[in-house]
Amino acid sequence: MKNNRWIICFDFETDLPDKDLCNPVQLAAVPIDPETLEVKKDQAFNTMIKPDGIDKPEYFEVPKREGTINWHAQNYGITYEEVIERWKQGVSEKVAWKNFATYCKKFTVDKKPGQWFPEPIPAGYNITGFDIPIAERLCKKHKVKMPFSSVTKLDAMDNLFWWFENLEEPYDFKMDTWRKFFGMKALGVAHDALVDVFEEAAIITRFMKFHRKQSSISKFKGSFENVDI
Amino acid sequence: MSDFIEFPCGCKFEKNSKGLPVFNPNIEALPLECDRTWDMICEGNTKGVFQLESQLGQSKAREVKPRTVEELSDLIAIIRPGCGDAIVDGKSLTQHYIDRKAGKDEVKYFDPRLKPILESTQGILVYQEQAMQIAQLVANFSLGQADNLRKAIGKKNVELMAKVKKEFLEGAVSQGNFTEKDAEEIFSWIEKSQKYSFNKSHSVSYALNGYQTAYAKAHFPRAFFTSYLRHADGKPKPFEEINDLVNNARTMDIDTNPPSIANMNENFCLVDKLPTFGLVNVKSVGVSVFKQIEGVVNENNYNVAAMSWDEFLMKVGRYIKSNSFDAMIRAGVFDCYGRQRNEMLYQYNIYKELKDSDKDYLTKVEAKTFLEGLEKTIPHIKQSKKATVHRERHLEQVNGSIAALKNPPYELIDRWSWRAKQERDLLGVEITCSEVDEYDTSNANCTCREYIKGFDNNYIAIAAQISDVREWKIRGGQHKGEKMAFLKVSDGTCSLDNITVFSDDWSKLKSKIVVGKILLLRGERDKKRGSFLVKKAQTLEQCI
Repeated sequence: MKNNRWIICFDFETDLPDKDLCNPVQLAAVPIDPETLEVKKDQAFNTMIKPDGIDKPEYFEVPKREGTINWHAQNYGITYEEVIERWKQGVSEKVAWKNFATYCKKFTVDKKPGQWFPEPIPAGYNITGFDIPIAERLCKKHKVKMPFSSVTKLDAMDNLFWWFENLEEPYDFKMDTWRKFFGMKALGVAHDALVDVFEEAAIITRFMKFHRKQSSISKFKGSFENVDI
Repeated sequence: MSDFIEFPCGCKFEKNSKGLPVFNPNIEALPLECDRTWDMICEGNTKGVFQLESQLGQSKAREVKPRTVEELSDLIAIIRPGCGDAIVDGKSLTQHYIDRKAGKDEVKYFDPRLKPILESTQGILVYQEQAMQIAQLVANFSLGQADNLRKAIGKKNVELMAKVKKEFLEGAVSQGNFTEKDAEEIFSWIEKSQKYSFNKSHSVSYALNGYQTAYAKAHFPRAFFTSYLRHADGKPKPFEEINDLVNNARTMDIDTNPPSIANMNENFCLVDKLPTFGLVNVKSVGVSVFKQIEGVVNENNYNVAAMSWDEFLMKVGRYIKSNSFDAMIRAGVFDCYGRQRNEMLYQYNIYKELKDSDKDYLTKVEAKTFLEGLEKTIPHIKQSKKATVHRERHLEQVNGSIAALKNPPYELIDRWSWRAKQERDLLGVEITCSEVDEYDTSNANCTCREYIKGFDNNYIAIAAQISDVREWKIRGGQHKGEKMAFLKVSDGTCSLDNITVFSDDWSKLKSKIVVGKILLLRGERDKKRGSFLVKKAQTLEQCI
């Protein structure tokens, strides 16, 4: 059972809040060593992506587009036009996604005897509900094999729910709330994908280390033996 | 093989009708007392030596230490399965032979009259011919009767054996040299020997063949390894064979060159006197791909060795199947261009997404770099007669590729662990580096190669990657039922496979010693068998 698969913490920034309609505008990822749980910041991935159709006027007529662009402008402290200009400088979605697949391949391990899945484990915050569906959509669109494990996922949102669902604080499950709650020092602009993955990786590894410590001292084996189910 | 190699004794490596390198010994002049050859066999360095290739052959060669063709024949006969399984007085006949030859056990004969027949095999009935001679001595068998006995033994024919037994006992009694009881005892050995005894003429010809291959290995090691590497694809597990051969060559101080586009060789061959991978030895690169590259290069008179990576990509990339090109980059075929494999891979991924028309244009355009070439395609696209919509989309794609080239999304450097893994996956063996190179090995005092070459110290520490773990349940003795382990490790200098972890240590180290892990193994040399006895295992710090 001992995991030997790399964990890839990844995050999309998009031009709409809807996972089915949005175009990714930034993709960042950082690998986590499965043995030491070290976040390998020097091996991070970060790319800006040019959204499909941004050169056409119809692009801006999509509902909520303007609001999303304004939201990004506010986060970065730049103007609406500067956000658009920045996105236009990005690489095409196809190139970006294929580069990301190649990058993930670097972290695919040799199969151990009996091991079926050597691909890295996707991790992040709310990836099950947002980032993974986008990844699946991009794989289908650009005919690329899913670069992650299709079985194991590490969604920090789920983990935090398990720990805090019965407590008063924090009052919601937004990433911004967690930043404040944990007292995290700002690494840079929040909602920049690279800054986000560093912060998410820090939370994930901290909790994983905590789990490892707990699981080494807790007795799980046979703990249901005297329990009526 | 391009090189034609001949030795003063007249033995040589030459090409056969299919162009494959074969050893052609000069049978008449081949010296059978060559110390270098026998020393090599006695060291157990018998990978590739006919009949002694296996782990068992190698370890028993070390123990038997044959110095003549006859002893080599004995060795070949006693490592056959039947001999190892025939247990007498608590140990196999193989072990009896070894212990008697080493002088640890006394050579005993049932009757002194059997000594001339069994003396050469340490008193053990190894060959069918010995059974025939015994039958002649004890029961006065004629040559025809003795041959019937051989047939009965060889074919394991029960009916014939019963008939021969009757003749044997009658003959022994009428001869009067042996009592009936003794004759029965002697015949019972012959019967038991059915399970393991080997035809001596067969065994001696095996031994001669084995000696010839050992001679070739001792005197023409570079050609020998090149030839064996070429034939590795005929083995059931070609990559394992390549791994074993390359590591064995390393122990003889012969490095193997990785494949290189600068050499443009199809299969394994000698380059600068070193065995060198060919392009088709890279997984996913077939002969058709090689021919395609060769065709383009010859047709256009390209000097691939003098080209840059960017030029090769633009001029030749168009004609190579994408998965083959990808594999060649990963395997280090283009390392001669002095670029990081990840950088080349990244550029190739961008290149292969281009439209065919752009790739065609790049083969003709004068540009020093791929980026420059791409930038030059922009005015070309703008001048095209395509509909505006298509032209705009095309321009957008090329501009996206230019942006991707200028701003790679991750650091395009090769980590040792990544390179080693690619080589392992695509060539079967780590050639240019090892995963161990990424770790702090300052506490090690010995490498695998140094250990094989005889490094000895009270305390030995080897930093290596675990490549195989075989757990073994102890069958007898005070530790009966407990588990011990045999390991195989490698560290870039070569691989080491005679590593033992005894049961007391194995129970403590089992969770740490896992295939793929890089560990510092501490222990000592087993003076008797030469194997490395591991006492402690420690994880290493990654330093790069």
